Amino acid sequence: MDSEHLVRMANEIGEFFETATEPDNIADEVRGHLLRYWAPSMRAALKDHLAGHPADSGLNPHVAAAVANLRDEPAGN
Amino acid sequence: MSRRHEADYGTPPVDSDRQVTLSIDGQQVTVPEGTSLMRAAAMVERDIPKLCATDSLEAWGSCRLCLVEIEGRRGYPASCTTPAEDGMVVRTHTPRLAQLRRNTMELTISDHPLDCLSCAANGDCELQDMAGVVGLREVRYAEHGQPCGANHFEGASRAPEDDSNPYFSYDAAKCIVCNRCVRACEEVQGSFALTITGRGFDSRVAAGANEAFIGSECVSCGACVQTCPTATLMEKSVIAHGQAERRVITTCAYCGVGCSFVAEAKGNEVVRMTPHKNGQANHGHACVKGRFAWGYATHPDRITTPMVRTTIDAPWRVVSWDEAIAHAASEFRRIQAQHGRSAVGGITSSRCTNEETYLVQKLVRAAFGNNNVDTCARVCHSPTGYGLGQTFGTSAGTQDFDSIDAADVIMVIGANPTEAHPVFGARLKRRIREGARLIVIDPRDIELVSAPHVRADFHLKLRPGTNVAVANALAHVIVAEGLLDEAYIAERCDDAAFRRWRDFIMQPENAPEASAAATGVAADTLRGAARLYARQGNSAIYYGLGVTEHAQGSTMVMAIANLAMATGNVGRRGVGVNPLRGQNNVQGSCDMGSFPHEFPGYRHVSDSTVRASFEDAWGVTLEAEPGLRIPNMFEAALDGSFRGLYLQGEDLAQSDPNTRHVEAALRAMECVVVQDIFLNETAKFAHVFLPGASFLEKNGTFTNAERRISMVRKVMPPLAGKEDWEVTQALANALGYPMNYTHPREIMDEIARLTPTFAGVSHARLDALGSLQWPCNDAAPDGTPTMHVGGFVRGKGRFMPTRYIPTTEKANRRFPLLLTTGRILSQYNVGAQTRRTANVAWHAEDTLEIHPHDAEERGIGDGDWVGIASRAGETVLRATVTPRMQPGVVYTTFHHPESGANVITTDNSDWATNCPEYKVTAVQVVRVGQPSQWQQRHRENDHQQRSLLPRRD
Repeated sequence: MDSEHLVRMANEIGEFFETATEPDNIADEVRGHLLRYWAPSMRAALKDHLAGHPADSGLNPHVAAAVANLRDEPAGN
Repeated sequence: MSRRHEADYGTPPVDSDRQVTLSIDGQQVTVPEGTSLMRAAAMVERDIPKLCATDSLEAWGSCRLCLVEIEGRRGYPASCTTPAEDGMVVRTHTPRLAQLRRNTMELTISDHPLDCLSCAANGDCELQDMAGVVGLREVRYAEHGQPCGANHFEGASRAPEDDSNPYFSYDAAKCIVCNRCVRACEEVQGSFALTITGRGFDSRVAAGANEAFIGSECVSCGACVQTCPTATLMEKSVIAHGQAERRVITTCAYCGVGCSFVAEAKGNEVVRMTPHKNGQANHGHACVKGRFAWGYATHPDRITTPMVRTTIDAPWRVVSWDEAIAHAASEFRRIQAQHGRSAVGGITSSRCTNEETYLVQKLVRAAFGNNNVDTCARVCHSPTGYGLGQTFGTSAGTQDFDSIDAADVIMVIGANPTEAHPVFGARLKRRIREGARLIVIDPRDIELVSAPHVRADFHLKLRPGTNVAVANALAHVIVAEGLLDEAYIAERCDDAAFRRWRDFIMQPENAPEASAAATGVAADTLRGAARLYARQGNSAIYYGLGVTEHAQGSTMVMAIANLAMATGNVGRRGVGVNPLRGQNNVQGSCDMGSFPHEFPGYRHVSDSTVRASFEDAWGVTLEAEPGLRIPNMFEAALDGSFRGLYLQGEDLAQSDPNTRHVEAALRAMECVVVQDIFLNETAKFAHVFLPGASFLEKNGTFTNAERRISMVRKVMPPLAGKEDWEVTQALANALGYPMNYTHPREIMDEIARLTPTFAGVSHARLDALGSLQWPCNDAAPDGTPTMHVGGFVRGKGRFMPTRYIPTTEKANRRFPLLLTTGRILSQYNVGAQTRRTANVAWHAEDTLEIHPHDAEERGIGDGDWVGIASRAGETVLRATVTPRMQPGVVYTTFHHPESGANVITTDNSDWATNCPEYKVTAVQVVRVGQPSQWQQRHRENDHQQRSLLPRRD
């Protein structure tokens, strides 16, 4: 998975929720969206990217918080 | 031609609160006030002879055949134009009436050729029928069987024939000037392309200003041909083959209107398709595609044998079904063994039936053991699913099509119904002619902006990509000017969400004055549209891919839902939010669990209760995580983690954006299995080809844009021997997952058992009722025409703040124009079907529409070749210079593969669903002298791939 593309998509999700919900809920909403709509392999790739680039992931703060909170790669892949 | 197989009451039904009772030939009959005597008589089986009357058209009263006697009144009034009154005593048959009718018929026949035995309408001619009914025995205006005096069919006086339309001929010699065709063109289709020219004896039907049909404004819907009582307007297929011997009621396989048709056949050969009068989506109307463009089903390009090859550059080898299926199954299992369970997936088809779609997703989930299943809705209406799901709680249109008859204001956003959903478009135009008001939001002057007797009250001609800013501005005006339906909101909507939304929408950035610079829509125009939408009774929104195919597609769907909730326009007839679905069964394919995160009925795969019900029924453990979506599959293919794909009836290589990216992904896969009726663009990258069946070759159901489930019935046997569900079943069995259905009805029974919204659906019930709109269950045994009555499916309607975020696809110095895309009436989608019919007479190639200002600046003239370059790629098309465009915006269709429209579209997508941003691509346009490199390569590749097909003698 092209991490640059994943970062862009994740940030776009974050941009929507920045207005659509209260500030305290943004990271949770983004995390929920990723869990509901992204395949585990995509989430894992994004999580790996964040782990490898903690300071310069390119992820917006709320989104980075959401990605950091994703559960580990689940079974079945 | 006529439709003598269906009851014809002569004049349309009338809706009235008052009933009147009268006597017709001694029979008492009670009818709504305003009903004609002709209709009232037909209701007590007193069919009055008629020629100019038919119940799809308003009464005209010209043929003088339907005369009756009324007690206490002088003369012989025409029953079609005389309304029934309380206490009337009417006689439909007396010696005097019989004589008058014979005399009238005698005059009509005196100017009509008597070649009945060799006439194409023989067996289906109302004139002949009526001559028989009135007992015409002689024509006194003839000598020795030949007419004397002037006429229109003999020798030098014979009126010329017009064969210019590819599907029907116009033979004026047989015309009785009943005016039915002219009225059908006006009343049913709303084209106003036909007229009666001349006076008295010179009166004749003319297309346009005495033009050939093909060159006139005629849209070839065929309503005139259908209503013609003689052979004057006649299908060429019937002229060639004669009248049909059997009739099968089925459903059209073109757009999401889902018209019901009668397929008329001789043996296994279709001779005519006529729209079914009782069809609940189309009420007897059709368009040039559904009615006429079905010849592709037997086109010589059809591939009817399974084929296999080792690499995509190798020649195809014809093999048995068993060998092809076994090979595909072993390849999928090999890939999964080597690269993991998730390394393969499937694509369901929005062209196939519900039963077939259900089976493909079942194969992926149960036999592949993952959720890597997606469908073409990904690239069209997936944002509708997400957006309406979030706000209303269900992801489908709220109304039936009939609802438009009760709409006072119609707002059309990013849709072009007269081209892309023509039968609904005709309906919409009729409603506008009846007085409903119209708002069009579109970057282009679509036909609805200004058509005969139709004019939009407001056209918000916005810049592509600014939908959300426009919708927010409309909402801002509604809130700021106190136009909210406060009572509705208080009763039906979530209060906290509403308050947050109201605060958001009142921010100054959402005022029309603030966004006008970005949207290009003047603030006063926008305010006028907002007031009209909010103030005038029933307001209904209809929208298309111009809403969804944007980076903010899902946001815009929610913004539309906000508008409807804010003004109380959801939950009754005449209002609502209505996505116009593109493909015949795209609604159904979504309903049937084609998305990687949802089981049938839109239930998330992580829901353990739902999953357990499928695990019980299917006898396997199911994956609880969402799978890959189509664009994700491409990315995964490029990084090597996704290597096998089973595609049923979907042409990703042509229809998906950024063609070069898609082609690279397809090339990277080890096993691509294409099931299709033609060697489509994707099949050029395939290793296994499984021949598919057209809609004429199978049984099952389609679900249209109004959630209406209709039967598809087999008219001829599958050319390749198998219906598509049988192929999927064979593949599942070869994969070691048993499927043993003997008929699609058994698949529908399984769907009904597992999906609460389909619990009451079965083929037997559809046979009995004609069609059903889901939800159909114990709560709504006969289906649900209108959703959210009394309350939203999710409970309280949820307002969502929808901030406008400009797309990253911006015009700049290098790419100063914005390209947007759309469809044209005569062609359908990627054109695989319509390009293989005579519809190419209207649209032989895609062109680039460009505003005269932009064209002049670039030295481009109408018809010049122009190169269109984006950051994704480059293609070449001919230019059409037209003021329909706004300066700075260009437009094309994507019906022809060699046009390469998707070579230039980018892989930008909707944030929530990855629906591609087809509608906005920054481009530069220059005059050129030759096709683009991509097109030259495409041409070579096309030639090479065809040479790899087995030779056919």
